[in-house]
Amino acid sequence: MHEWALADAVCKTAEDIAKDKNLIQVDEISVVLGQVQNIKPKVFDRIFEEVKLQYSSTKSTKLVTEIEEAELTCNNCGNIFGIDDRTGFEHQTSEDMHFIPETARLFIKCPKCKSVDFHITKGRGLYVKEIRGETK
Amino acid sequence: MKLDPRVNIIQTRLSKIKKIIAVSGFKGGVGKSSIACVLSLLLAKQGGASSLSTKKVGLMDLDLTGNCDNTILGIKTQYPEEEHGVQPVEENGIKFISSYFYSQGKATHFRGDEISNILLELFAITDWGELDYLILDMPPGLSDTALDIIRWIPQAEVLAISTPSILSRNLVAKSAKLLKEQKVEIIGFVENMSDGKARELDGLKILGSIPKDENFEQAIGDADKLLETNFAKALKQIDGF
Repeated sequence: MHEWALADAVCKTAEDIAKDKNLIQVDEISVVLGQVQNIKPKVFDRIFEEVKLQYSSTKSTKLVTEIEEAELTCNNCGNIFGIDDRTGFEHQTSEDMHFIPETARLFIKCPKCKSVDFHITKGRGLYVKEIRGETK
Repeated sequence: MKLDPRVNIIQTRLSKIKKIIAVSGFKGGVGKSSIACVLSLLLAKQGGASSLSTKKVGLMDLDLTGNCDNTILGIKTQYPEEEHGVQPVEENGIKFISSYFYSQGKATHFRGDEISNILLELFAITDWGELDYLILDMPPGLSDTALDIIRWIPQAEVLAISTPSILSRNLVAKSAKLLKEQKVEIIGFVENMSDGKARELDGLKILGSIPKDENFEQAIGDADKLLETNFAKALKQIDGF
């Protein structure tokens, strides 16, 4: 699973921060999942439970996830728009955006001016919002 | 806090790779993709100039807005498999990854920060395993991709490609100077489309030259034919990798 690699990156980051901040262990990690990448919270949670055991600081860490809705901003006309209906994409397109969210530029146009030149300003992919733990 | 965890895992993903070579042309159209592809084939199938034993080789097409390694090598696989990340496709003895797989054959019009994000994603999720060489096919210039590689993969060594043209040579010379200042290791330079008079280039080691091969175009898309070209035979003589 591609999610495995991202969960690994989250746990490695938590491990590095735990060492840097002198934490006894990481109690909780809050992860934001972007709508464009479309990682399912249940899938990520299941994989995280497996991956976290590989790092000493995250063996009992609780994962909290939230979804950030997509916000796309047109570089041509300034229009701000979203992705209303993910199920409207072909399976292959959905997969491509799942692996590389920036490929949204290849499959979506600005609904106002039809430009293919827009930025994903919110809801691109995964990031860590908060890491909590007690210091030694 | 908005922390991108992908940066922290890059070195873990590359930890079983002995040598990373960034094939850099600086000027467009000097043949860096052809050299990156054929060098990968030579190392994988024949071991290169200084060795007879085949090598484990990975190739990454980092020219995100102009990727073509899949065409040069005639890659037939439609989509990489997933298992603890993305598994590079394996064809012609090379592990290969490219954003091409996720583009459905469309033109890829990415801006700078998008290029950085795509590179970060590919490096974070690609499971190369053990490799003797990872060849990076770099885009022209010293923009986002080059700067990101310097930042995230400082162990990458640069193989500079130039043609005899003063335009190309000037750009290689000043780019190499900047890279050296940034502590980037430069293996040396190869003169492609050579007129047989490879000249010194501002303290850069000349590794060898490759004459213009009019028949190379006919071999594109077929790895076996590529290895039979005069281009490949000349590249095989070049040592230093």
